[in-house]
Amino acid sequence: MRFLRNKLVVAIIVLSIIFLTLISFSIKGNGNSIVRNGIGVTFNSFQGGLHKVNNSIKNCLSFIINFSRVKSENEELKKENSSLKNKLVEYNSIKNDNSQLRKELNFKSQKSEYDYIGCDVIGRSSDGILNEFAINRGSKDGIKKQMVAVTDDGLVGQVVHVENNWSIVQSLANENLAVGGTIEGTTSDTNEVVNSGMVKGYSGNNNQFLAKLYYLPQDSTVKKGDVIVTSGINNSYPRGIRIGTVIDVEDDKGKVMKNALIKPYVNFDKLQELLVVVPQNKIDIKY
Amino acid sequence: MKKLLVLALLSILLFILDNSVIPFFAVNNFYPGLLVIFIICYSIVNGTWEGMWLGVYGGLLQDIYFSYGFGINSFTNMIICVIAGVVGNSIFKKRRLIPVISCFLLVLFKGFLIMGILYLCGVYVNVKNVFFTGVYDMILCIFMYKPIYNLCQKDYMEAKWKF
Repeated sequence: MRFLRNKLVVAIIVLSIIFLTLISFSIKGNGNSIVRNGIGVTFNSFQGGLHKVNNSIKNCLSFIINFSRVKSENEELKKENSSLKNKLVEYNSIKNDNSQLRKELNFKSQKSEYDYIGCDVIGRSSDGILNEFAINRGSKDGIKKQMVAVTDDGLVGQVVHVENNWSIVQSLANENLAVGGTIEGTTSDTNEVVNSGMVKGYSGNNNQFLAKLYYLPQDSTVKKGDVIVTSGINNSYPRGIRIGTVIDVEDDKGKVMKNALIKPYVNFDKLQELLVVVPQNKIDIKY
Repeated sequence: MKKLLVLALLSILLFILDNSVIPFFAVNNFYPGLLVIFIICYSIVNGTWEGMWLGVYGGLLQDIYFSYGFGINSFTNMIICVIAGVVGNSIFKKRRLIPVISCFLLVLFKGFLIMGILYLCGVYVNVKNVFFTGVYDMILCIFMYKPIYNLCQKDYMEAKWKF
């Protein structure tokens, strides 16, 4: 037992035991602690400010660099806008019809079952290996683990850790998240072909943030340009949140299935604000 | 006393920079960690004993924003700092070649350790991420090693810790 006299070895052994027990306990439980919560709150104020300033600088810079592109994009958008305006007129009349019919049928519209909480992104966490964001709302505001985060563009990810007034969101770019996805406009009841599968994070060649729709059947009608939305399977995600567009379809010969490569609408690199989806009726929807 | 204060504040500063500023300098979405480079360089200059405690402290900071398993960063930092200290004992510290190389290897090692622990918990980490973060860290280490070495040579930093 001579090596026990070396205080370095003793310290290493004691610390290892402490940390390993800490790790195993915090993975089993929620990992909430007063210390972590308190320290997090103090850091959040500094970090949130810095993050915001940097984000605005970055946006400004990218505007200058991409000015010519912005200009051409502007032209395109103008064209699109005018065509959309025409469509809007059509849409409004249809919408009126629809709301009338819904009232008559006493239909409960799906989206109204959810509340939305606005949050600011205050920093990245986990050194970039898990694609996570810290946000400035927590259990005080009603956020719980496994709730869904969205922006007005589309789906962002899921809340994985909650403290009193901050929490951590894991983005879809991470392959540990899975979402039920389907092609917009097709539902499994009306079509013979099932077009839903499972969306998982996937990093492409240039480490772009992409996602992949797995487990589509061979006869699926998926094609480039299709819009993928959440399918609402298992009630863990609300139905109809937009995820992204299909940019490539590949055959998985081994599994006799099709996979679709998706480009998410949300730019995970430039996130500033999020909305966390909170179900109004907690009995109806299991999170 | 001044030494402890300097180290504590410097780590907190680097930690905040890591979370809020460094992600904006990402190349292909890979970004480095300043705090990790700092603790590795410090351990190389000052040996295992001091390096280990600084590593644990830095790891506890990193763990605040790590969603899976509180203590993973502290544990891995402790291990890499002890190794860095052993490396530092047997090299000529004024040259930065070996510190830079060992920084790369140790960051990789830390990445793989975290990957292994997370794998046991059913969480998958992209290997590419770990590797390129290591490369980026190494490049930054080339510029950070000399300032850290000079800092450690200051009079108030020479005082030995008493535990």
